[in-house]
Amino acid sequence: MIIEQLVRNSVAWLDSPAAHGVVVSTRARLARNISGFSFPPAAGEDDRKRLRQTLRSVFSDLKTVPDAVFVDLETIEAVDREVLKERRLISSELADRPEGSALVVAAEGRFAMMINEEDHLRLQSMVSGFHPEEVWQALDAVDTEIESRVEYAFSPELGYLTACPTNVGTGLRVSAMMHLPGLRLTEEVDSVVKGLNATGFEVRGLLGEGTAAYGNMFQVSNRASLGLSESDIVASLKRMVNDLTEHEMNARARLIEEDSLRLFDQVARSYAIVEHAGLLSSSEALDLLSALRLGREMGLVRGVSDSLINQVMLLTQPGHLQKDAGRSLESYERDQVRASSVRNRLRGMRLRPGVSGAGSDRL
Amino acid sequence: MKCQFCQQADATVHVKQAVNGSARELHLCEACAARNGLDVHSPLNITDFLFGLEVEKASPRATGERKCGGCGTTRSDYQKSTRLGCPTCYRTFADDVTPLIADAHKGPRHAGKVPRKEEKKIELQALEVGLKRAIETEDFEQAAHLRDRIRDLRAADAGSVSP
Ligand SMILES: [Zn+2]
Ligand SMILES: [Zn+2]
Repeated sequence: MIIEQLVRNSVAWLDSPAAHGVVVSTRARLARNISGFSFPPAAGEDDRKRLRQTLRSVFSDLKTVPDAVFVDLETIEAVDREVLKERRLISSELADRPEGSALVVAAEGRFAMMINEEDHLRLQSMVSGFHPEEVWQALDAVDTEIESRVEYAFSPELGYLTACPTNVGTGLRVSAMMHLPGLRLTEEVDSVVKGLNATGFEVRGLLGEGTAAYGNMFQVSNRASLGLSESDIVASLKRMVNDLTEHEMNARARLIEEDSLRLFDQVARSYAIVEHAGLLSSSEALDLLSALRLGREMGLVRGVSDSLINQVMLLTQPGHLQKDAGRSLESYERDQVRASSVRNRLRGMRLRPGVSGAGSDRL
Repeated sequence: MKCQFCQQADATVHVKQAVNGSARELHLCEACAARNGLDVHSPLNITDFLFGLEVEKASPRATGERKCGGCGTTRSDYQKSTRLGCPTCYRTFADDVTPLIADAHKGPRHAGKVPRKEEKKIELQALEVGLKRAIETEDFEQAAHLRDRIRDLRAADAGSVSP
């Protein structure tokens, strides 16, 4: 019942009117382990279940997350786990090893806490737009309340101890999901990514497999978590994301100035394909949606909102399509369903007169 | 398995080493290991010995099988998965972990949030050191004061339980 609501409802952190512009959403994650238990990768299933039981009672009456719902992941359907994964409420690691694992959700999915992922606890908080202080403070409050009930694995020297030494210290990772189509079109994105990686940030493609950034969606986050405070981490990410946003806006301005026809062409083609395609692969759909989102922000596309496009990006991934269909779909069938789903969801969309070549001939 | 040096006695000393990306194993009997200057009870010496044998520059990765007393994770488990098994692993595999931490992070020491319980522990330790010094220097007024503060702190920690 609860899981049904969770996978059917809209995505609170993505569909708010604030989810427009370059930074789509902000997320913070804290890694924590409980003293006296082996870390999940080294623990057997029985140990993981015992730990989960301990945390179940802790989460049953926390004041900071009064509406927390605890879901044992092996009790739900594989397709539901896939949907949760596509909504970024759980990781692939957790979806692939559900036994002894759990997801705790609260505040309509703005809090999503993973139990027995790589660490005992992965506390996550996300909001629309760019609000790094807000997501950190929200987590800090929950963490402080949990800390009064359990004994965390902590060393004065190394801070919060984690299964992977790259997360030790604060255990904090703050990330921004950024839409960077301008930098892609001006072919600057690779050098920007390289530069950021060299200066202590991690940049990866958000959707799709591996490092490919389908839909020009990037996740940018701090790499270091030891030797600096939580507010240092928040402040340095903030500076970097603001710089990167400015870069993206400059790239868009140059596109308009230097070759507006190419930009209009991209947007109009994407519009035409979405309107008429019979088959759409996941990666093609994401790239088309990215171009339309850029077009909307530059006033070339009307009748849709950024948040609707965000939603469509998420809802046309394989797990969501199969959940909607109520059965598993072959890849060919998925591409067919995706093409009509994207078209139907974007039904109100129009091009601004003058944007398409054909349109301007008629005018 | 027979010893790779004398081919006679059973091999009881097993050493794993990563050389240019591939793993190499050496199996020796205790006598051969000792004859070649190996203290079998000290993995560090075995490591030194093997680095000496290697003509090519061996990878700087720490070697020698080692097992965490806290959770049973072995060094090869860790090197394969890069995931530690428990808090004790940080000490057991310090040779592997320390360079990784230096590379990934901003500094060697935690500079962030500290759980309230830990703050209390640190405060208590400081008070106890002060108390001991006060008693040694026969500053009984100060000692009594510190004893009170320690008692209050302990009481707050234990809830209603009296010391
Ligand atoms: Zn021998
Ligand atoms: Zn261990």
